[in-house]
Amino acid sequence: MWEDKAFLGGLLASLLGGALSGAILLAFTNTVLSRIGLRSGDLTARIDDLCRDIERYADIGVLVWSAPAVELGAEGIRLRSTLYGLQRRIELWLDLLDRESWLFRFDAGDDLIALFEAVTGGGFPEPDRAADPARCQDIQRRAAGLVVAIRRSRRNLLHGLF
Amino acid sequence: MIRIDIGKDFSQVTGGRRRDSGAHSAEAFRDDLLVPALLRGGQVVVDITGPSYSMAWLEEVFGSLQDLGFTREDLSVRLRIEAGGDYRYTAEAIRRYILRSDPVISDSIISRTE
Repeated sequence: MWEDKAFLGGLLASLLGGALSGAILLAFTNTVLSRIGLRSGDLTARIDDLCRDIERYADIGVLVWSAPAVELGAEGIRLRSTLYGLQRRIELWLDLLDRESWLFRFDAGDDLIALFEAVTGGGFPEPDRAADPARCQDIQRRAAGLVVAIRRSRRNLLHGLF
Repeated sequence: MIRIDIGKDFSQVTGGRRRDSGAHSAEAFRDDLLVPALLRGGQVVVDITGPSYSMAWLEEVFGSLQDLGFTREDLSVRLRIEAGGDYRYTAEAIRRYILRSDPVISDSIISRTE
């Protein structure tokens, strides 16, 4: 009789202990998976923001280079200022993504510098700068390539689950 | 060693290539600060953190140093660019201008705008 009670008590304790361990393990797994998923979603949103900035940078670059500097007047000052800011922001975004996420590895620095050169190189800051239609085309071509390179820098985890 | 902090010693904003294009020009920074520092001998450290730059400004400052008599070897030893990670690509472009290696944009486009 006493032995039966001890056996049942032990069995119950084992079941409770197992259930508790299982619940803790499940909660831990859920937390880890949701954290990874959250960070992954956050990374995707940041990459989207960066790509939008690059497209805007290219569009404004084309606006600037499609007309001579004298024709742009005060609007030219505004556009050039925006380009300075966007160029800085693009570099800041890339540094942040590179440092903060091991799912993002950017190795198209040459393409980035080439886009910066196309937009703010040459006679960009000069008051007597002429329009340059070929450069406009070059800017959009380089921006398109860079956006693809950035999206390719995003690595997937578990075959795209994250 | 001479240290030049562009943001503190020159300006937080940058202008055109030449003095006659307005304030904060590349020519003013190069001729008033960078070249005199290089002529004094020893190492020159340029901290680029702070301002935003056009590539034209950077090219005018650093890409013309060899035309002013400094050799590629001398510049690679004595001129150091200091920048945080968020200026990584700007710093890389400057190093290319200094050493004049691997132009990243076609010459036809550069010459068309000059």
